[in-house]
Amino acid sequence: MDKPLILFENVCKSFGENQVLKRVNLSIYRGEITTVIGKSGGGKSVLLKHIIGLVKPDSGTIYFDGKTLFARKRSEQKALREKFSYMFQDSALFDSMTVYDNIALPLREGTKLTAKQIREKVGNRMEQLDIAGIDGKYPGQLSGGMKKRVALARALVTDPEIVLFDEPTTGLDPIRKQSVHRMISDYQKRFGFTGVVVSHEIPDVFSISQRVAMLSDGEIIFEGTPQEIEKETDPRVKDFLRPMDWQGNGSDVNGYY
Amino acid sequence: MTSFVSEDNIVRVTGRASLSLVATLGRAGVFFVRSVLCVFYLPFQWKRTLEQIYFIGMKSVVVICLTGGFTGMVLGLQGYYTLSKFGSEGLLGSAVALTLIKELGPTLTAIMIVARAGSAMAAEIGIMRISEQIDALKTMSINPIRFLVSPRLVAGLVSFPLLTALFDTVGIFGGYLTGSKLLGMNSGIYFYRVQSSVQMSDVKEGFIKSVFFALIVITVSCFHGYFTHLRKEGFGAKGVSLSTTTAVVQSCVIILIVDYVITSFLL
Repeated sequence: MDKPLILFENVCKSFGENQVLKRVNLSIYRGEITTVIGKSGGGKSVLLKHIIGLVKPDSGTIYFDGKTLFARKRSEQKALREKFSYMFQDSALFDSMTVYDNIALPLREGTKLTAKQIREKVGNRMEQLDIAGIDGKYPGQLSGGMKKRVALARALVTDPEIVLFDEPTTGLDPIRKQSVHRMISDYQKRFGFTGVVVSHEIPDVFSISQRVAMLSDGEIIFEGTPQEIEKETDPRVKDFLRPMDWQGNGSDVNGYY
Repeated sequence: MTSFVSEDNIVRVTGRASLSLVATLGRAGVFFVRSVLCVFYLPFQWKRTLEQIYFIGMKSVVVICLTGGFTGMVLGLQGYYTLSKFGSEGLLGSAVALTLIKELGPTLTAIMIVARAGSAMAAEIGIMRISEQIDALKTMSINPIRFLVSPRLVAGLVSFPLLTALFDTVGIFGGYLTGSKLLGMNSGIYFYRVQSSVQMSDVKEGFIKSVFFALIVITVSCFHGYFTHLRKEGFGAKGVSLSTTTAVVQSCVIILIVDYVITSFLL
């Protein structure tokens, strides 16, 4: 197997008395979508924030392309961060800016594109995400699902190399959910970005993932392909996936992806 | 034993409070230096700076005119009655002008801007912090201090002296209204005294103060908003409300302390 693009090695993180990550070991490979699943409040978002440097580990090391993530020069860190894009769980849209300005901001601040080029790029993304025509609205005037799609448009507008999705489909109806999943998958195939998705949408999210990791009690207890997780015998994994069997046909995740 | 325990506790509490104070002062110092340095990062943020000048400066004009006018009027009233006891009501113009230009103009202007714009800055940045908008800026490789604080700092440095000048001017006319129009003092004498007693050094003193006050108000307001998430007394909306209150109270207190210090140096 190739060398991982991002490698977590014994990463620990506590907030006060609460130890969220306990010796996390995880490999994320270039050009693949890795989905991190696990219970709510289990530290998945914290894990994701470590990758982009919003949270620093108490101990352990995170490697990017074989080099430690945090022991880089400031300019290197900045250049590295420009390769990333992050979609926040609660969208984190700038509520005093219009939808258009929200999506255009990373292009205005981080590129030398002209206003016309920015308008074209933003317009394209908005059309692709079915949010055309709401340019002048403010995030406070949008529904939860709309906000998610605006956040997604903002995350993808810079054509990033690595995209971190923190629960991209929570709060969306099933049709929109499918369309967001399809869009992530299509973009990934088209641009070949590396994606890390934190999600509860199992088994739907397996259809777009090449790899799945499960975080439980602060540790990665499973790492493998969606097919492998189906055969996993660890009772913690089985218990977590069991609700998928609600149709009562006795099958596991077979046929879902 | 009990007294020993309580003494021990006092030492601990004092130690913890001192360490926390030193840490906060250090953080504020670094925040201020970074905000100033970010002003010089290219390209200069013209649009955001102009927006802030409009917000801090232009939108404060009415409130500054009102406070300046009434401050001058009350100074005219009080000054006239006090000076007339010594038969020196002719000096009213000097008294009103010097009091406003050297002291009340910069101080009251700064306090009014704290109330109007400082509280808004602390609340806006605080909400951005708790709703992860500041983290979102970081993920986009946008320096949040450069984006949020530096334009406000430049806008403050432009707006404070201009608003102070406006406050002084309106205040002097307020004094003229009560002293001359209401109480019958000769208007020529009033303005002659204003002209003859005010030196360039007095105007300079007022402007120096207003520049210092601008740095204080913007830094303190933005600092409390920016670090809302580190408050131990309250999180979320409560944290933002506490940050806003602290920003306003601290700015006002620091303004008065610094006013005294600058005055004692410049006298």
